[in-house]
Amino acid sequence: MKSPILSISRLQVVVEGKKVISDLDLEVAVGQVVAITGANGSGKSSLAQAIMGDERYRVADPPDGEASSSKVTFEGKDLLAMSIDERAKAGIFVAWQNPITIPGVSVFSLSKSSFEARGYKIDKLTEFKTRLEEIARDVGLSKEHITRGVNEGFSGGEKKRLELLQLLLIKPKLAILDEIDSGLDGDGLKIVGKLVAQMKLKGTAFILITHNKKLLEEISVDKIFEMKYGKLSTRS
Amino acid sequence: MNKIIKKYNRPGKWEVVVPFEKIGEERSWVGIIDGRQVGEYDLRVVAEHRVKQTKGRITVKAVVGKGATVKIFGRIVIAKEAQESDSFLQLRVLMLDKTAKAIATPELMIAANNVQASHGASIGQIDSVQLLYLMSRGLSKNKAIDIVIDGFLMIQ
Amino acid sequence: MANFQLDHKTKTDKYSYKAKKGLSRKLVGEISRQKKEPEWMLTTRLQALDQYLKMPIPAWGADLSQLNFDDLYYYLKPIEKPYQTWSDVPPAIREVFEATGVPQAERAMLAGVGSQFDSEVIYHSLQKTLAKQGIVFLSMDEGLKQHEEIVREYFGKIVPYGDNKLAALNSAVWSGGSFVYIPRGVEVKLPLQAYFRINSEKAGQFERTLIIAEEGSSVTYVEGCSAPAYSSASLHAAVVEVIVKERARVRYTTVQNWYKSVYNLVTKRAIVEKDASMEWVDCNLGSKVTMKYPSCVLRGERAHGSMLSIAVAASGQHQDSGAKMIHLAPQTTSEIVSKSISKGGGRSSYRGQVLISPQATGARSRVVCDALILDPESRSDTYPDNRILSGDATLEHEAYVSKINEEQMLYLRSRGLSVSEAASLIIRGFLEPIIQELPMEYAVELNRLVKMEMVGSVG
Repeated sequence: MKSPILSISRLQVVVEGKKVISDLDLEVAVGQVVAITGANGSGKSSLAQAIMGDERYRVADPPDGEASSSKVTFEGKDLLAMSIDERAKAGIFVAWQNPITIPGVSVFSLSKSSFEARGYKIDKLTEFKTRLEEIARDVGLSKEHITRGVNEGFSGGEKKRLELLQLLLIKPKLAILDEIDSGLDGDGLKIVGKLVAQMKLKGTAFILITHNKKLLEEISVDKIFEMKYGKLSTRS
Repeated sequence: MNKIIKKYNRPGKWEVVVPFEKIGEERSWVGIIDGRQVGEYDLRVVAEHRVKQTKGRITVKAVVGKGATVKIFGRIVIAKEAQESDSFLQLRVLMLDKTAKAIATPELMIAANNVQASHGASIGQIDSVQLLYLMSRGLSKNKAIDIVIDGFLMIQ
Repeated sequence: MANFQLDHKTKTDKYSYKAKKGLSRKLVGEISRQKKEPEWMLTTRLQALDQYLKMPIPAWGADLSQLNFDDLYYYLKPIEKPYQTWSDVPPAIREVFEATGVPQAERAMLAGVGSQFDSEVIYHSLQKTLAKQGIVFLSMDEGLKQHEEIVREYFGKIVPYGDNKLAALNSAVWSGGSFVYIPRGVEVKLPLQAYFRINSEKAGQFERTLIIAEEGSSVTYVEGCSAPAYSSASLHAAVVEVIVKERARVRYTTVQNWYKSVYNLVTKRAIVEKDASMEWVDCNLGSKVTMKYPSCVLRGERAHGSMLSIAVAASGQHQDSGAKMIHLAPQTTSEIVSKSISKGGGRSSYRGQVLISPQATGARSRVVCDALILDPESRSDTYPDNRILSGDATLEHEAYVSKINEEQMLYLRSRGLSVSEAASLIIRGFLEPIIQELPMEYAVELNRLVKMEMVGSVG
């Protein structure tokens, strides 16, 4: 394949003493859209958390004593050596399954901070604000949402739309959408489909984590994997 | 979770200590004060978290009638060693008469940081909408009040 | 726009009168004589001194054992008379203020600026339009001279000298402070600002402020306090009395950043009449010990009192603060929102009281106190006392103590923010409901001070 942007080999992940991912291999190419399906508890979200860098998801070495160990590279660099914010700066974006509420911190504030963390420069704040309002409209949020605290009083669907807003703003190299469809109506799913198609053309790779077949109908996907008991296999 | 429920139906003075001495211990304590007799009801409850990962839930509910005074002192203490503990104290008081009096002192003394400690105290009257609903089902006002109070004083 | 800074770097030692250390009837007499006060004020001072010597130091609250009351200067006067324009103020003194960024009259967005330097108000200026409206904003000394009858009517009536030991001390040796009088129906559009500073080692600062808002009037009063970096203890024992008459509205905002050697023991009280409202906005960042419980006596029907406060306690600091709301009339309402942060071994205590008397039927009160403890060395306490003596009243009280929420940290870090950037943002959000109530320059300054305090404390 074209050179992979993300390369995972023999990944083992342990959470609170329990192994949730065992011996997982995965390669995602630049601009490729990959879907991972599987039942609840199969380890799909754990994969997203592990790639994101949540320290509670510890990467462990394979138990069989082989020479090789868990390895994850992003654009050729060792991802496991990077902290969670370093990974985000490198170009990884995770749309959370359950986005958190942060009272008193406005959506504007969060957007500005994340945008600048990615290395983009803001010349005029007013221009940035206008752009933010445009993106908000594209994902079905209003100007008013931008002034509110992050997810303060947001419905489940609105929280997901805020994840999409950030995705469009930050333009990551790799986006992991963890159950993006939950909470979204048909309209919302269409927005996701359009968004993925647009960004794929511009070079963003996607990992879609879902157990909802409807989502896969809206989005054209290059490859589908199934996760079972922490292991991946290709779906027929 | 280890759950204890205590009921107080007559004026008096009581002191309760709820200690957490075993790592990982979880305890719940509920005190119910039926203050419909004239007099003073004075309850002091202290939750003492001395070791790690302990979880406490303390609830005190009281109704205060004519000529009654209810005093509730509730304190959560989390010692420096009691990291990762989680404690919640709730005081709820229903005032049934103009002359009812309530003194609520919910205190927090927290010396560890990786914890969650909170308290809530609310003192008020019976919800008039609840009464309206019951009366619209044919109950007299007094009967409706009795039912609401009974519900309030129940453990659930 | 005025650039306001409350830092600790600049010092001066030029005084025209520096009293000997310690307290005596002779000193009190000397103070009154230097100020050329009427007889009744001297009498009050001496009575207060007697009371002060008799009363014990409060046994509750923070630790005052290291404060040596005999080892303080009680009266320091830097110049002979107050100046009307900035350029008239002696250069040595002007330098201190310029270093701290006190806005000059010409640049000031604010209506009037009174600045206090140790014991005397040395610089004072008031725009002509305010004076035409009959608004009075003077130093307390001037207020006593020019409006003796008004001062006599209210001085010591809201906070009597027998109220507590520090109030007795203040009543005996008070010097400086503000006298504000807003006539009936007058709404003061821009905030009145005063600035206090303790500049000498072991100085005591005892300003006395009296604010009278006549019926239907409204005013916002803002004060910023700081002291340079000295190691020996200084004492700030101020008394603020406010009377808010029917339908009047007063907001009193304080941003305090005393250096870590200062004992900040303050009595602030407002009497609120029918349909009137009093708002205290209190930010406590500095001092070694602060004991301050602004209170509202809600005396008239439908009177409203509120208190919004921020307290940050860092290493070696104890912020013991809170509020008192006393409901004496029907349909009165009160609200207390307290946000505190403890870090580096600091200790923050909320001490509040809500008293609803039997006559205060239909009264409503709401209290929210949230505290963040950033590390295992720090501590946070909440001591609320709620006395509801009317069966028709309602009270809601909630308090929450924890460290910074881990999930929130994770989310922000997953957006590329470093640990300290994420913590800063969250802490800012935690304080937001109060910060948004501050005048712009103070909000900017507070953000800067909080950010400085937070450096190195998380992660």
